Amino acid sequence: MDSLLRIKLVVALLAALLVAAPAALGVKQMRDMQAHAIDTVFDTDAHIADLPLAPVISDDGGGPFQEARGYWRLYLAAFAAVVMAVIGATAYIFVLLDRQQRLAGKQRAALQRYLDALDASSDWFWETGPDLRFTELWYSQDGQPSLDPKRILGRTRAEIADPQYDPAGLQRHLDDLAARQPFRDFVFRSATARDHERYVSVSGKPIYDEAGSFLGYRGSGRVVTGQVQQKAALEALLQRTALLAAAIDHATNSIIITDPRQNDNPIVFVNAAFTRITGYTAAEAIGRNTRFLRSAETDRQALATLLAAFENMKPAKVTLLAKRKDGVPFWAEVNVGPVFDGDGKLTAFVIIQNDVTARIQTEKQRDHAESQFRHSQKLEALGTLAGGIAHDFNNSLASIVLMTQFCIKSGSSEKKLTTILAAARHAKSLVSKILAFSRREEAVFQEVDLRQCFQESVELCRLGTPALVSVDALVDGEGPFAMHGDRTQIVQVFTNIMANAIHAVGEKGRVAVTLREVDVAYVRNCGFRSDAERYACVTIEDNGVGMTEEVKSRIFEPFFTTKPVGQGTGLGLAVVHGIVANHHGHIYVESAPGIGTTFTVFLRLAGLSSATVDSPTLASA
Amino acid sequence: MANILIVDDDALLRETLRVVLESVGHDIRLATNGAEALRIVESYKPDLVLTDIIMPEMEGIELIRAVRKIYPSTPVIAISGGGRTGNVDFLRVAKTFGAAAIMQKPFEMDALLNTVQTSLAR
Repeated sequence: MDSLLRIKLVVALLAALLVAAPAALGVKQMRDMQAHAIDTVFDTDAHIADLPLAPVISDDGGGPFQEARGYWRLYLAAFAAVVMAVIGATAYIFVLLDRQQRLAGKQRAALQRYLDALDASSDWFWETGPDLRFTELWYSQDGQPSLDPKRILGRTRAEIADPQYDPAGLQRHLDDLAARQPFRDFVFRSATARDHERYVSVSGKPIYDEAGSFLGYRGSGRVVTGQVQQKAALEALLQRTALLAAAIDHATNSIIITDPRQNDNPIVFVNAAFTRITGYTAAEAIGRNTRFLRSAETDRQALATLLAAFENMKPAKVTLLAKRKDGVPFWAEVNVGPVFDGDGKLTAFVIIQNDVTARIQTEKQRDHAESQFRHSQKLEALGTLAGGIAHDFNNSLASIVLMTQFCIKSGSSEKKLTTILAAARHAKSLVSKILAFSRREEAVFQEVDLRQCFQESVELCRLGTPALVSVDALVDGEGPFAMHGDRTQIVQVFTNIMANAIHAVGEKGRVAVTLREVDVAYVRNCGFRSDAERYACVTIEDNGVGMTEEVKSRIFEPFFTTKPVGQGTGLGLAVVHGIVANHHGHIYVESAPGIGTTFTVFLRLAGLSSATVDSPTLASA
Repeated sequence: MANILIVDDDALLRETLRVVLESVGHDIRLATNGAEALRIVESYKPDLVLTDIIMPEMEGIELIRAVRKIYPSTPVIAISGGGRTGNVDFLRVAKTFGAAAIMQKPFEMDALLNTVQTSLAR
């Protein structure tokens, strides 16, 4: 009750008092006048001055007129009482009316409040009949532009909900409705939405009339498409994250994540494979820098590459010797990748580590096998050469033996002795060449004089050459032809190709071999990527049988041969190719059947710009 | 003495063989390969052919076969410096194809003279 109403009530009360007081006064006056009348009958003069209104009328003196004035006063009082009563009643009516009016105002305001809330709300309100069909729908047109009452009114929930979406949830909801249960935040996919996915959340409660009979449901609804889709996306994301986590955990590669934002770039995550490979548990690794995995034998260069990757925030891949917890070293192939956030800030390094010990061992074994193979290959080449060499050698020896014995028997002559000397020298030169050829086993890179190699190869090949085959050699230029390489292998390259050329011309023909210097442009024109300034160019040209395209395309394949069984291993040119590649050189072949074949070999010459040629690791053991 | 044809592609040995065999009184003709030798055989009609096996133009084996076919009575001595090439023992092959004797280079002078004598005596 507000203060204004209270004041009004007080005023009404006062007014009532004003009415009641004169009335009460009037009643007492009448009672007194009756008593006076009786007194007058029995004691006329007594107590006249005791009359209540005596002071009022005493000035006017007494007498019969005084009696008349007493009645007047009575009427006056009665009249005042009536006036007062009328005023009081009027006031009371006014107060009542005012109260009524204020109540109506409050109701209007409350209704307006509901209307405003409805208007501002994104929700809508609905009502169903006892058959659960929608009968009413209140909503703001602005808030629900897509709500189409025609598609809802007259239908049940089961008819407007898509049964494909959460069928179990829908069934529970329909059971709730059948059981007249209230429900809250039931989400369904609208089957009435025309061209887009629409999810709706509804709450409602059953309504009954005063007699308790069921009238239907009343409740609210709202569109929750965004929330449902967000939730679905989040669930998908969580599922994907779980999948990735499982993949990381099942990976055979050790995966390490470090946090470069923290001091000393500590490990913040390792997977199961990490423990399997290194022997360290996650608890032992997390919080530490990865350097505890290094071995004392870790290759400094690989380590420098790795540290540079961390420093420069660049990806890197190295293979290095790492150390297990039990101290056993293992070969690790390490991939480092920086991870940046959306602002390009470095947030992590992902390090994928692979135990490649088995592979490295296999490679070492293969290198060894390859070395052995080259060795046996050389022996085989030597064996093939030996056929020709032994023949010549034995001829020389036969001459020497026979002539010497003849001289002993018949007395020496200068001519006979010259023959012996010639034969002996021939044999000597043969021996030195065989020795030169088979001097070393391992590839040893050093300064090599290509001119010497070239000439040695030519002489070696001329030994087994048929009489009518000429081997013409030309060294073009005064250049030093110095290069970094393995002398024996270089000689093997030249002799293998020359031997093929000689074989190709048969019993009669010409093999022309040249050594000259070319510049980088020349090599590039031949289609090779070259990085040295100067190259030695060796060409071996024959006018032999030549090759078809098919044969030409396969000549560098191991075990490919056109020679009869027993005469060629099919390895000669494969070995040539391998050696040339190992020396960062290039080789190519031009050929035409019936015309001849030309092999061209480019080898990097040692010079100012090509002084640093990496030695292969093969010889370093 | 006898007419002997020496066939060898090695000039030095050819000359040596000539000197040695002439010294004991034989008449010597020289050829550098099988084809040339076969032509000389027809005109010269040697009592003995001393041939190398691995030679250009015509191999010694072919020469042996040809001589054995045309003049079955003419003995052929096969000599070889190659010995084994490509796992083939040419001297053994020569023997199979009818060589009267085989000699692996280098051989001693006495062995040569003895073998020549023995072959001619057949």
